[in-house]
Amino acid sequence: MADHSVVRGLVVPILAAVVAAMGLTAVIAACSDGSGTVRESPAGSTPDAVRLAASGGAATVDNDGANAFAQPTPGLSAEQRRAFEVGNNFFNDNWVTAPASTTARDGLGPTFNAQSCSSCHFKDGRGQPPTPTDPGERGLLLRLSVPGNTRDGAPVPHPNYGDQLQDRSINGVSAEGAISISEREIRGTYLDGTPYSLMEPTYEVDELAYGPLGNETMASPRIAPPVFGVGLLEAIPESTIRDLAQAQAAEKDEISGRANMVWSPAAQATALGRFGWKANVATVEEQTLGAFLGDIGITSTLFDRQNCMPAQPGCSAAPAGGEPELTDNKAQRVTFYSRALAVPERRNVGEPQNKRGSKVFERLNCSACHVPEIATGDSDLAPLSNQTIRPYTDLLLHDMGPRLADGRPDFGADGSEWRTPPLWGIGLTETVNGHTRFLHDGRARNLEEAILWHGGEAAPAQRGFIALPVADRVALIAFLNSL
Amino acid sequence: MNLLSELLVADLTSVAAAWDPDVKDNYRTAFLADPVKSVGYMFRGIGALTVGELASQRIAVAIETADQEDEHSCFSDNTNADLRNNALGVQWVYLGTYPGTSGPGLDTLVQEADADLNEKLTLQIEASVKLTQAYPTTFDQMIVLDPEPLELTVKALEVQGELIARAASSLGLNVELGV
Repeated sequence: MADHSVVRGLVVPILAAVVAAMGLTAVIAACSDGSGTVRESPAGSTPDAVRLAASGGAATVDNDGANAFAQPTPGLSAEQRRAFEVGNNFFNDNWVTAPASTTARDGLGPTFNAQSCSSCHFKDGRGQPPTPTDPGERGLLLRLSVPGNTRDGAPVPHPNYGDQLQDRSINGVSAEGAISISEREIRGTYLDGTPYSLMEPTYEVDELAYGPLGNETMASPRIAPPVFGVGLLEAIPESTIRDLAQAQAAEKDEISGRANMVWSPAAQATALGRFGWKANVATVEEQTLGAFLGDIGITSTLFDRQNCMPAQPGCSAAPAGGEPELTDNKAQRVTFYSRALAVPERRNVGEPQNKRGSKVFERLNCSACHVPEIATGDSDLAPLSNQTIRPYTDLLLHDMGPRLADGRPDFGADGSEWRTPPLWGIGLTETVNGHTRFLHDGRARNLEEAILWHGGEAAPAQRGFIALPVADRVALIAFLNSL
Repeated sequence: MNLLSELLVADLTSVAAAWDPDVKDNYRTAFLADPVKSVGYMFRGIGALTVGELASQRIAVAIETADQEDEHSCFSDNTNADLRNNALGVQWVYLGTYPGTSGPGLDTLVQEADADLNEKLTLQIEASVKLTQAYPTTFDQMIVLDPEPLELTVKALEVQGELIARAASSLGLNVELGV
């Protein structure tokens, strides 16, 4: 025990400081939301500021670091917590070609876009377009279809390539093709004379392995969106979303959102679409398992047929990793994981710059579609039930004008409509994902460009943004970055 | 083996240097500069190891898949020892003990704030350690044949995690239990 005094010397100051901190415990605990999460609110924060910061209601976490999108919602039971962690594992781990010694994770492909959920939704966040120096698995894919609708109202898959271009494949099977992107610069100026520049991407598919795509084929580029908060969005009552559409229609302005009605394979019925860039999927389960099949090539009970079109015999002949490859148990765990991912708390609500930006956001009528506050209804997951949340979306489709149009209908969405994406957590994209690429294909290189791309129903708001004095533009961006 | 041994020695040397009181501006300096934050890190460390790592990623996932590939040390077959030492590591940090030395631990602080909670957590950690010391067979055998001893460990660790969160909370600290 020669160094006992050293140990004492180390600990005594800690004790003193923590005991001092303990004197503050009562004050801090008064701000607690009762779920065990302690919120150390800055001095002078008001009840209003606390409400504005709790983006996900009780499912909010005080985390603004690299794992801000990857936190479980507070208040899970031990059993739910375990389901979350097992789901987390299957969200993150790579799948491999079947057969393999790692039997729980084989069955990749035969054709696929990614080896795991997390390779595109890195840290449960946002993907970005490929670059010439970094071409792989960054989170951009192309949806494909030919004109018409299936009897479920879905887009008609391409006869040789299906409804998505899989640009990778296992050994012995050909990948369907490779995406190549060319860009054209569009220059413009703000009303105050400040120039800006946008990069407009054009997509081509090279190295087509199963014949030409044909002139009729429609392609829609889609970037992997952030995953957190989807459980809360799922818990918003359908009537609330319909009411928003009705209220927008009653206003005498350009904004008039529509709900997308889509086919729900789990319910075997038409349902209100909430997820995906065109609100083309009704539930988190369908979104999750649809992505397992479409993006990774992993079958589940819900989507039990491999992604192999008749023109791809090598694909059909490849060994599977089980029937289905993702067992029901694991499917439930990964779905639960996605639903239980909490929303990060808003930062610096009370800063004058952000308050000013928030007012600009209202004044430009951004908030007509990016609806700041919505109440959830009942959910089987208690922390998601009856919460006041601040997602900044109406979950409705809006015509975004010809510049953003993909020209590919998706259930009720036409070729220029997109769902209002939620804005919560958007200011943490750079911290979590190391980039600031936004919109459905990541074409915007920052938030300013994302606003400038808005058209159609959002054209007046975009014109309003261009006309803003620089201080208001800066404040608006600061506000968005505080979300 | 030579290369691995060199790496191991280099890693351990860097840890020793990080805590050496005679080295300037090392991790020890930063650790002592903000004691409240550092105590928070200690709770975060034992909380995340207890729930996110040990209970969840290292045991529950393997029980779920019953697949040897999900064993923490699937190549060396050293998993039983890993689990045992992980559980012990939490105990050492909480009680401020280490073979050959001891001093105040996190328990000293929690005792001040909530003596009853401290007793519960101390006993729970002891129970978890005992469970990891009493496995009837190797990890890969248990997940395939009878995972009950592992199930019990997971449950014990989950309770332990909640108590760690409460203990941190009793000191005014917020701790996350995830990986």
